[in-house]
Amino acid sequence: MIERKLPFNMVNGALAWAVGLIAVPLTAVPFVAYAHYSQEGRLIALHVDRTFRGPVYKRLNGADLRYFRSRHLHYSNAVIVLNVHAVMDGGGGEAPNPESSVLPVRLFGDDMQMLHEAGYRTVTPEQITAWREGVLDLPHDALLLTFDDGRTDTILNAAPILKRVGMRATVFAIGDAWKRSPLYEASPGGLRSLQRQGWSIEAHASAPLASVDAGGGRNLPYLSARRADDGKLETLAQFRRRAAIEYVNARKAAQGIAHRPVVAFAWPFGAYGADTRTNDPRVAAINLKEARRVYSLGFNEDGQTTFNLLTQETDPMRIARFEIVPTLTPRQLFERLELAIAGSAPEVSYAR
Amino acid sequence: MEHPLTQALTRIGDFFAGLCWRSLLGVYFLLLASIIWFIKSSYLPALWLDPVFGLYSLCVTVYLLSRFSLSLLYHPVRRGPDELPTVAVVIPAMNEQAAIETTLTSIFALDYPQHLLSVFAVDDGSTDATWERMAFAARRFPNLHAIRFSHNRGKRAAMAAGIRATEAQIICFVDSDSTLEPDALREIIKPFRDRRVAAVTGHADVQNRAYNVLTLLQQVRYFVAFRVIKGSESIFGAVTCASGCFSAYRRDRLLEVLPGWETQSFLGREATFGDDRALTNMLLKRSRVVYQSTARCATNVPHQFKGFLVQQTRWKKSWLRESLIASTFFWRKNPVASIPTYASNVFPIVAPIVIFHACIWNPLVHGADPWMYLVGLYAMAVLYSLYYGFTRRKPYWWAGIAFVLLYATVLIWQTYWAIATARKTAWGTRSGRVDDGLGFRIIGTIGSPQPSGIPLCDEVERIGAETGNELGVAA
Repeated sequence: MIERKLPFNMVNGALAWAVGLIAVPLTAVPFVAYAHYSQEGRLIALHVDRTFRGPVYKRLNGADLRYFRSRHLHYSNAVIVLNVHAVMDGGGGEAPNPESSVLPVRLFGDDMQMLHEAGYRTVTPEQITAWREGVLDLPHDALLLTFDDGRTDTILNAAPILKRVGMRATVFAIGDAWKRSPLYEASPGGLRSLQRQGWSIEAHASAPLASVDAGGGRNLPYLSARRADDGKLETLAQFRRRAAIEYVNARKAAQGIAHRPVVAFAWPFGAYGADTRTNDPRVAAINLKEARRVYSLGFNEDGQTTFNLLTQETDPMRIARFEIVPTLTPRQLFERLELAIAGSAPEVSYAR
Repeated sequence: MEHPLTQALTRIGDFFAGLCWRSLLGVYFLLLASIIWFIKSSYLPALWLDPVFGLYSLCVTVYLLSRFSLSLLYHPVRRGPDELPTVAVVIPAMNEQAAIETTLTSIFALDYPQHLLSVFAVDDGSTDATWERMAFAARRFPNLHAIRFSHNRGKRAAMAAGIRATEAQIICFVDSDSTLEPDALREIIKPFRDRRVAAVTGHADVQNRAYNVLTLLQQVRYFVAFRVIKGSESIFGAVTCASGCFSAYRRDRLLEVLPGWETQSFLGREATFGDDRALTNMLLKRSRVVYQSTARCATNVPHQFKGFLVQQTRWKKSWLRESLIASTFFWRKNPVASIPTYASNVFPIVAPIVIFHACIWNPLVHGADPWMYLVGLYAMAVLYSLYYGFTRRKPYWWAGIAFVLLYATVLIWQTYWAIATARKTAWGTRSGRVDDGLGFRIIGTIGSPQPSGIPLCDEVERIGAETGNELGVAA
């Protein structure tokens, strides 16, 4: 019989059991590190966490709530349109990261409480379309809250918080995105579950489209530039055809998810050729014309500097969205919205 | 003598300690398995993006989780044949002077009627004192019969000599470095109640597990290989390898396949290892082969890394040969048994490519990080170990993680080495008596081999037998 050579009795005995017990948390260290430091890991951890509990955020203090309630300038016949990129806690904790447009869960919770306390009422693109057609009155302090792409964190982090404060939102979904990145993107079933909570699903893209080669070594968003094939730019007629097909397919994809008619489109990256991200400014007019054939409403991405409310006078295909960024505190966001209301709402009052 | 109250309190304490231990590991296992299942099911729609690797990853996960799940349905046979059969224990030995006596002692200590039991030890041309140790043991155990080969002919020839030497209904093979639990024989014959069963493999634990970390991690590997893999295969009577360290066979079925088994060749070379797997395969074509977890033995495993690698390469080669053979008939078995068997034949061949693809190719060419794959692999290793810790309540459950990591980093590449050297049939660890040019003969016998009707000794061999007598061996 070969005798024992291990430094201590690893097979049995108190020390062996102590090692066995310590090994339980130690073997979990790689999982914790993965869940903390990698984006995929964070999403997996988020899924696990949400199985057991909802997103955690603190209730705003009484002084803040009173401030929002008392200082809000009420408006009617107009809509504030906000956009949220993502709601997710990062590996660096909950401190706002100026480089990122990802909102920490707690900040998103604070912002939504602020909007709720101030008296904003969320509306849907369908309501806005009906209002623009004159068949429906919007509630006062109407707010359209939008999320692009239909990401998983929208379902796991944003939706439960919005449900708690009695608000709803709109998701601009990408067809087949879920099939390519199942952890990052919400499944059609998941998006439909939001729809059952009163959310709307609208169109963003037919598929996760890569940017196009715009010649001169530039890659630009799919719908904002003429594509270069073998070094030669496509003609405007070819671009028009490509854009028209994409608008129809994007609607088809969104309707395939929603199982309902789709009325709105949000340009990926907010780019339709009207800014510097183009190789031919003429594509903007083509985009607007072709999109108008398919949709009632079209949304840009960024209105950070020139943000105005959506009114009856606004071009329905060029609706600016103000993006909620992590560098804004709830009070700063509140002030920014109040400024926009004071500057562009047709009817305002301090009293409801 | 301990006070009954103290005994009762100790038992209660043990019970609650076991309960806490199992709850801890059980919750960990279920949480991890659920997360793995969630991720895999989430990624189902993305399968078409990378169909080969996606499908492989999914199949491996399904295969492993199904093995663990199926093994929970496994139960050993409780009721044996109405009448105990005659059993011959055959022990092929080669340079086992250190272990052979312990093995023989454990066999003669078996709880089995002595008039139904015979023991045949075959010295396959040892160059050490194995034969002398057998002879010494024969003084204590008159029922011991032994045969000595003039030079090393291979384990298969030694086993065949044992088969021919006996008329017992059941032939039980025990490795010369294995020791059996007292009830092991009674347990291993139980499944023979079913006439369809041709072979039964017992459960092997690692005897020298406390020697070093390498032997410790092999203990976890042995447990999973037997209790999980063989356990799940046994449900369908389709155990793919009745382990050489402790297995029992119906003699009549053995004789049917004996000529083919003895002369088996592969790629034009005589098959000199994988005897257990080859025999199992031949029997599986027409019969059932099952696992009996209550028939327990303990066996010594290599405690040096080089010896371990040589053994693993040999196993891999026999696995390669027998997997090819098994794939020609396994489709006739129950699909729940045959599909995983075919899958498990493919996995080791594809696995190195997948690791290369995930850890080297994708990061270098596509800039993709390998962490998800690596964490997934690690998660499977932890699951593997937790299962051991949960079912066996052993503190060194973590050794399984070390084994899986060793497998994924070193052993997995052996598949290709085994393919490349498939025609090399040397054992690597064995070196027997050099052939003296006089041809093979039996140069010694101990006891009286039973009248099987198959001659064991010719005239030349009797000379050898006398040599045995000169050594003080009882004729």
